[in-house]
Amino acid sequence: MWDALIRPIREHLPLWLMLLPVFSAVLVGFARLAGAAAVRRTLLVNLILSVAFSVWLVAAYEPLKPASSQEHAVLLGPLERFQFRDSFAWVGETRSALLERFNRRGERRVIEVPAQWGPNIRFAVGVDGISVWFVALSVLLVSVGSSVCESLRPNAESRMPMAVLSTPSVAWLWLQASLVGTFVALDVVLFVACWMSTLLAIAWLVGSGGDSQRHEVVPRLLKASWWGGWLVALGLGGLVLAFGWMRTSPNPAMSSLIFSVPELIAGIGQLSVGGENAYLWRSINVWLFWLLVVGFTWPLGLAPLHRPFVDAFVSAPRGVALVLAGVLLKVGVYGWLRFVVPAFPDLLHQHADTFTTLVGLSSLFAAALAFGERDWQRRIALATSSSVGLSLIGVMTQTNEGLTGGLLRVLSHGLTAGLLVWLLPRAGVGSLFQTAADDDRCFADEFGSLKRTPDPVTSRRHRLVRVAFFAWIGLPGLSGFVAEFVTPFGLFQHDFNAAALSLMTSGLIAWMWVRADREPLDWSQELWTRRDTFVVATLVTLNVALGVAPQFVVNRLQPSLMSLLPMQPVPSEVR
Amino acid sequence: MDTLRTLLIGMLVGAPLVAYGLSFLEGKLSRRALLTAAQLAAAAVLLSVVGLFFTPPLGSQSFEEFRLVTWLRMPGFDVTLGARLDGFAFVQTTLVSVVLLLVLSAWPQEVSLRWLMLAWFGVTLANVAGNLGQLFVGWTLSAWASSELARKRDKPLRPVWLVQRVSDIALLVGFGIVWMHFESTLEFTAWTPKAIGALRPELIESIALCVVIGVIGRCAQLPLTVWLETEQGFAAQTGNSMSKLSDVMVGVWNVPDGHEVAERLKADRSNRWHESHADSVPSTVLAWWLCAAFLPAGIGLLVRFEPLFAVAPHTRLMMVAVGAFTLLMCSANAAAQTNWPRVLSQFAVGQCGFVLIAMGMGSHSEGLLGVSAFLWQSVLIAVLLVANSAIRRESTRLIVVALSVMVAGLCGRHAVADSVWEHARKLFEVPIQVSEESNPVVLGTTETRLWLLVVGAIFLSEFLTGFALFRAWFLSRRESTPRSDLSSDRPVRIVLWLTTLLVLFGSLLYQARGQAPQNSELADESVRLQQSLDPPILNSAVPDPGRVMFLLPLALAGAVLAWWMYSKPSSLPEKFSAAMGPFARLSRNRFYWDDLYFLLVVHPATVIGEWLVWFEERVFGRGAGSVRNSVASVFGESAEPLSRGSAMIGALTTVGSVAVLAWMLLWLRS
Repeated sequence: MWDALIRPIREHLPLWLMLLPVFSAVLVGFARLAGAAAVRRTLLVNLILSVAFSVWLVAAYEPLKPASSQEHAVLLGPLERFQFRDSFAWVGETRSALLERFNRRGERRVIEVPAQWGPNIRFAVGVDGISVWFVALSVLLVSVGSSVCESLRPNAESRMPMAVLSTPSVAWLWLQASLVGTFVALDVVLFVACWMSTLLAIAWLVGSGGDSQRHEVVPRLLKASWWGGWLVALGLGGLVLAFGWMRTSPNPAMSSLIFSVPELIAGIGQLSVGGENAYLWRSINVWLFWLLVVGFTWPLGLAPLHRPFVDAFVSAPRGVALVLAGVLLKVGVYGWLRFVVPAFPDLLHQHADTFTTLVGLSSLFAAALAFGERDWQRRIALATSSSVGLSLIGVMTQTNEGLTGGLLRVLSHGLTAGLLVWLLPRAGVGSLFQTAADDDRCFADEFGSLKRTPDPVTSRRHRLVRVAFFAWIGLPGLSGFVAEFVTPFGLFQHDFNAAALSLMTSGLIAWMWVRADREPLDWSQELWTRRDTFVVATLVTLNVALGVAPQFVVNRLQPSLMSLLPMQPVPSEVR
Repeated sequence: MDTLRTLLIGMLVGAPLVAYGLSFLEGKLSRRALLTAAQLAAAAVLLSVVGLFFTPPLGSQSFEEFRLVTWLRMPGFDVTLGARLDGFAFVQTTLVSVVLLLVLSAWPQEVSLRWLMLAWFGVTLANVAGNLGQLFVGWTLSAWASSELARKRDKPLRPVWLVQRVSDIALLVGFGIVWMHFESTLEFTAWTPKAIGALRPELIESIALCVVIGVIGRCAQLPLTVWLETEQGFAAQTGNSMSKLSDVMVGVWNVPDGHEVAERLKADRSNRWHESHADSVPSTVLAWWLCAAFLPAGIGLLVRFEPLFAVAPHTRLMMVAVGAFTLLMCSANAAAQTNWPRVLSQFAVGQCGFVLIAMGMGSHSEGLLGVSAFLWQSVLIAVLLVANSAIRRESTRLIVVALSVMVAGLCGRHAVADSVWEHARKLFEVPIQVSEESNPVVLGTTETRLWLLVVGAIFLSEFLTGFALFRAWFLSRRESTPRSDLSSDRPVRIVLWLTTLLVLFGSLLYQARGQAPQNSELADESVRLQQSLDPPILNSAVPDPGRVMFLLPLALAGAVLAWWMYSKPSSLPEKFSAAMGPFARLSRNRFYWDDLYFLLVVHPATVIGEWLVWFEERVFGRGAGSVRNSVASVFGESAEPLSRGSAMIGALTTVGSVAVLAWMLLWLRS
């Protein structure tokens, strides 16, 4: 009984995580009729279930599923590296048709013939060791960010009309679904659609809740991200077409277009090794490579193309800024890992020196800008830009240590930046709804534990901000240390210049936070709620957990990362 | 026996962790109970070290390694936390335990015990590390937690560790090179003579240089004597100041109240040196820093890397230069201080420079002699610093005994000085080359000339050290009044006396044996490497401690001068001050280091950062907009969407790109 109840969820966790917010959005639509309390309860249920499912996903994920038999071990293909897979026909379909034939003697034979209708674009989801962490980080930060959503506040209905109240809620749910979808998508079209959808959702959230500059900021952010998205769409489309043609060249009977991400990447790796296909591949791969490189790098907000991101971060409400810096910005890094590194290892290796040097300089530039800044929000945004650059450098090295360090830095930065953004005073981070809520003191009593900020709370905030500093700077026992420690080992294997730039950037960021600590933050208008306690405790605990026991994360990352390394099979001990 | 050893090792590694866990009960349990628990933990570690020393492992290995937890494991990259027990690990762990027991006996009420316990855990991790990963974790953790001891509640970060990060980065670079060239392993066991011999010399020099930079930062040697930024200092007017080790340790202001110069400077609000004694770090914390967390840790790293230093002559030469310079500067600074902890801190850092000289000579025996002398002295410095904050009236006998031992320099400093003198003497043994060209006389080589300078620095510093220690003692005796804020100091006094006697007994015994506590594995490797790779000039034998004793007369001369100036009714101090006033002030404040760092590092970084922000906002941002507008104005209305960056442009370009891509694919297919 219990198993029958659990199994349908456990086997399809990524799908549930993606569809849960969609269902919730529909329910919110109905709940509006019942009032704000119903909307609030719906959102809360979604939030709790999403976090629970993401924790379940991480716990249930097996680093590399052992093959059940020798035969299965041989058949362990690219698709099998992904777990909790689900696949549904979306646009077109490929299926086997059974044809009945009779030979001369009248004997009946059944022949299986592949038949295709349309391009075979599928709604396919699944996770591997890389995406599982992106999914977990997304759900965590979206939950944290959306928890400041006005709809989740008691008695919110009396402050603003229901239409205004439920709109950001739907945007948050949309953002959650599309962000999770981006990371669990196993189909090229689904990936692009989810990513684009994510950009629209974040633009909606910034536009509806940002400060007075939001009308100028949102189009710029959209343009920067949208351009990247379109280039990626072009590159991936080209990749699908090129792969289809390469497959059909020796064997015209085969299906022409493959949209499945794992099969596409693995197939390109096999087909481009030699023969006529190699010639075809060499003719086109440079174009596709540059399309994907530019497309995935542009939206990362690297200096000097950081202005749209920084302005949007400063203008956005606190929760949205948290998601923007913590996870959304890093979709580009995920794209590098999912497409650029495995599909173009040779080209990447050829240009890696230039790339790492350029990105290293960009990170240093962003760090120097952060060093010269006086505004806290811009400082965090610029340090984020620098940190994302450092993550990307690790990925570009195509070494085990670099890739692992890059991924660990992504996770660490998400947790740390989230904590820092959460703790900063909200004054100056304009939000229509936040301002309305915070200024309206008559509701303070109804929060139960809500109280005006006394000195001990300010002191606590100071201490917690320092924890975030320490984690960012990379002190032992906190999450940043692992990334700071591991990444240089990958960089040194690759290029000394990149390693030197990376270390200089880290040093400059550390100095910047030390100087920033001297500037007093004014929390006199801030309240400390139970929600603050819960969020901050969660983020600090995860920061410490990642710093003290990184092996839990690394165990799940390693097999997937090893498969990205050029010409290096997964060692037996890892299997 | 195995069970006992396992138990002892568990105690060695687990006790600091347990103590750290208990320290979270600060505020819930009484302070006395927590201090007692911490002392018990320190005693347990001390006992386990002694127990492990007397229950040797089975077999003939010179070290024993236990792997406890895997912190991070990837193919080709393995960091395991555990304990590697060899001679030097025993010595360091013992030293740290003794110092911890001392400081806990008088730990100030206002300083958190939690950071101390975390720092202890970090130091223990580093001391018993068997691989570079664990060493780095412990190294960084101990520096960070120890520096937090200096921060007062709700005050901004006092980033002692900022300079530590400089040394961390240098170390990480060095570790990276080691990892790449020693079969992708971070284990110490990979440093076999064969593996080291196979490396290119410049690689070894690079590794050694990185490690030395790490040690210089950790031990506050010049030029990384700067440890942190503070709000005080002359650069504070612009919001950016750098301060130096002595400032952080003991505060900046060091002229006694009531002194004419002090009053004049205090009245001047634009003056930079307004710091008072109250701002200085408690001397118990100072004892922990100087005698356990920072200086011995740096020295320990030097010893660990000795097999590599043995074949890095250029880096060793740099170590000698840095050490000699620091020794001289710190001795001069100590001579100008009036505050007892400040004198001791300058003395300790200067003696660290002495160790750098000893290790830089490239001879294993002198190196370990210098190290062991430093470690013995560290305990005495801890005793004196703790006594400063815990004893109601300075105990004359205690101080005299300790001062005498330090001035005499035990055996180590004499031996090192003797060896340096032997090196310098080569200057005169090299025949004078007379050439027929314009430069007729070439006297020695750069290296021999450097050794001569080092000899001079050692002699002068020894004289200044004797002078400084006794001057401070005479001054403190003159002004000493019983402290009313302390209750009975009898237990602390007993602990201090016992420790002093133990140190005296141990050092005399050690001197009689005439050799350092050997890390036999390191020693063997080092000796083998030196024999195979080093020039013979660096292979000097263990010097006879009694052969050269000219340091003692120099130190005594300094002491006598101090007695004459400060204990006898004499007008000499005034005359001396009048004659040497500028030098004394220069030595006392050392503002030039602040100036230098501000000029070279802080100010340029700030200006560049602010200029970049200005550039980004005013030039880059506006420039992009004006370019778009210019294009639109040139091409007329048809390009107007470009200036707005409208979606139309995006759509058109996208369609165009798709068309190009399709055409390309069609062409390929054809």
